Amino acid sequence: MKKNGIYAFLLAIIVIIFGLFLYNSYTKSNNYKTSVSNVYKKNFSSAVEGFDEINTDLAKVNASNNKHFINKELIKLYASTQAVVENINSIPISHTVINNVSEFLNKTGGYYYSLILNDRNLNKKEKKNIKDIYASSNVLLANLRDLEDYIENSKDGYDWINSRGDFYVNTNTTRIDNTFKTSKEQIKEYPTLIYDGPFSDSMRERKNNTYKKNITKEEAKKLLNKMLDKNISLKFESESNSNIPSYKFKYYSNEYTYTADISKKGGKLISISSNYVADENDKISIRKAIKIGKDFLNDNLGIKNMQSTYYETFDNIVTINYAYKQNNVTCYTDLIKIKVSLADGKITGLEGSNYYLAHKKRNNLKPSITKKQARNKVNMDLKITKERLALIPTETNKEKLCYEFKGKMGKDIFLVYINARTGEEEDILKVIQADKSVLTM
Amino acid sequence: MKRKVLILTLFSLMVFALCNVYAASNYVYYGSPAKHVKPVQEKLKRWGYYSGNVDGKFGSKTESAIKLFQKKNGLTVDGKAGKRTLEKMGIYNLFKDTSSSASSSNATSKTDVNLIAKCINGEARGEPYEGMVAVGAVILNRVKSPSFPNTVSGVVYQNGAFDAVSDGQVNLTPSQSCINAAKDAINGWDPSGNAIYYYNPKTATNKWIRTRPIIVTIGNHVFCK
Repeated sequence: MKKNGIYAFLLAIIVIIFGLFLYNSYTKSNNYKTSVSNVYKKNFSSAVEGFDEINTDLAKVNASNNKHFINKELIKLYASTQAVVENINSIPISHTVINNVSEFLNKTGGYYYSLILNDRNLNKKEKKNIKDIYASSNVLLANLRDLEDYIENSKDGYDWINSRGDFYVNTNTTRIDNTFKTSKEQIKEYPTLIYDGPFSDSMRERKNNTYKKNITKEEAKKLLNKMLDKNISLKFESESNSNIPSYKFKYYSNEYTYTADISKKGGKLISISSNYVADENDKISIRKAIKIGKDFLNDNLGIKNMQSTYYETFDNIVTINYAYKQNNVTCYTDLIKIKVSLADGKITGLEGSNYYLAHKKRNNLKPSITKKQARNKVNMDLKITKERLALIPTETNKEKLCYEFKGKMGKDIFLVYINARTGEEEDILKVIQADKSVLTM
Repeated sequence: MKRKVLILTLFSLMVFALCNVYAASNYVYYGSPAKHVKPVQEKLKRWGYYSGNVDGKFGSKTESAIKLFQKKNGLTVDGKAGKRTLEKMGIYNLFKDTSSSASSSNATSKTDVNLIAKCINGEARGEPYEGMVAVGAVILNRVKSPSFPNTVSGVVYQNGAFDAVSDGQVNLTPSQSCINAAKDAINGWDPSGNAIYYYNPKTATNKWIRTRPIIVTIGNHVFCK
């Protein structure tokens, strides 16, 4: 009897301890849930608030006719766009509205920026664009409010933690998504044409029309053997439907696997990549490696007039940038990157899509202003060490002929680009000095 | 019994002290943090100097491997992987905080290399090298895309975007090949062909993703627009 009593007592203690433990972890996890949910809620509320403000500012820009007022509002708009984008992207809801708002902000933010840079009165077309943007923002704001309502009024509170579901937007599986099916159609087509920044669709669909002739898989294989090495055995892997349609081949060299992409149009080598690892012995000098890459371009690919502009060593492999040189102009637009192993001089990688897409014969590469005139546009404090003509790519896929000035200011090295036609300062790059990367200029 | 405890305590104190001493120094030796020891072990193992596990713990095996490496490469044989030894291994820059990227564009920094490498490690370990680069390229394509956040960290940590982030695998130390793949992706290699999504057709449950136009298949992953 006494023994039973002890057992019962022990059992009771175990149950109590277990209960306490459960209770403790329950409250704890509830606490975690609350604090995480609060962060999400805060971000969502800030996003709606911020978007509301953007909507109001857009209305003001739409109504105003004063250059200074509009510019002031545009700067405000640009700043709040950045903030709302941050907030909206940290919300764990996969939802068409969220996605639309995010895309809307990214695209219009870039547009405001370009308007600010113009620094003049809005013209007719720009006014119309602002009007359209404002109309779209009205629709999106209404959608956001609906979503907010849904979240606020959902039974038992909205479950922020488990609702994340699928990340991919437009899915039918997310339960609240169905309510907003029509939203995309309701949004007035906000400017896609007016804006051709890095996000523009035309950028992603970059194509080259120089090469017309399509090659077959067999021809591709033959060509690759000719370019790389006639003895390697190439195995067809797959076709790629990227903006450079290509065939992908695989081959082995020593114990390493290589893949090579060759374009269907024109049969040009687009890329090589491999899991090659160099050992620690650097038997090849950088200068030799640069020559190996250049010779490969020249002899194997028939690409002439390439000049190394920059290299970077990592893990005993050097990655060298080669730019096309026409007359005395360095065309950064036509870039090929080659990786050469410093252990054995093997070419272990190549990236030629930029060259493939951009390279063409350019006729008008004559500057309108003199080097001296351009030099006068550069900040006086910059001690210029080198200068040359260069064709630079811009974010909008256009090419600009510039004078490139390399110079020192204090400890920092800068590259300054002065437009060789207009004399405008197009870009300034700060060279980040690292132990193993060198600008060969 | 008491003695044993005492010895143990003393021993652990000593180890602790050692840790503190070497954690602050700029060579890799006993007590160095795993993130420094691992790459050294990895290199040594790859080149056949080291036969133990790549576990991030500096042991006698690691020490003798370093000595062997130093002997063979004409360095001071002290078993400590200092500046010159690490430089010879090509990994000295791993220990420096400064950016190793000299690209003067606004694109990427050292932090980005690490974050992308970690994400590749979590998402595409076991995939062919090209597939690893492709995953890195998808991250960078998303940064450029208007439908996604505008920074690498924003993209990687976007809610539900990557399984490896949701289940915490992103926090593992990336292998050397993941770091190389991240570097290649940053340097412009894009085997995905401008993809912004990818999935594993064997495991993907999302119907919508399967309707995306496919660009290319690499290893187990399908990359799409």
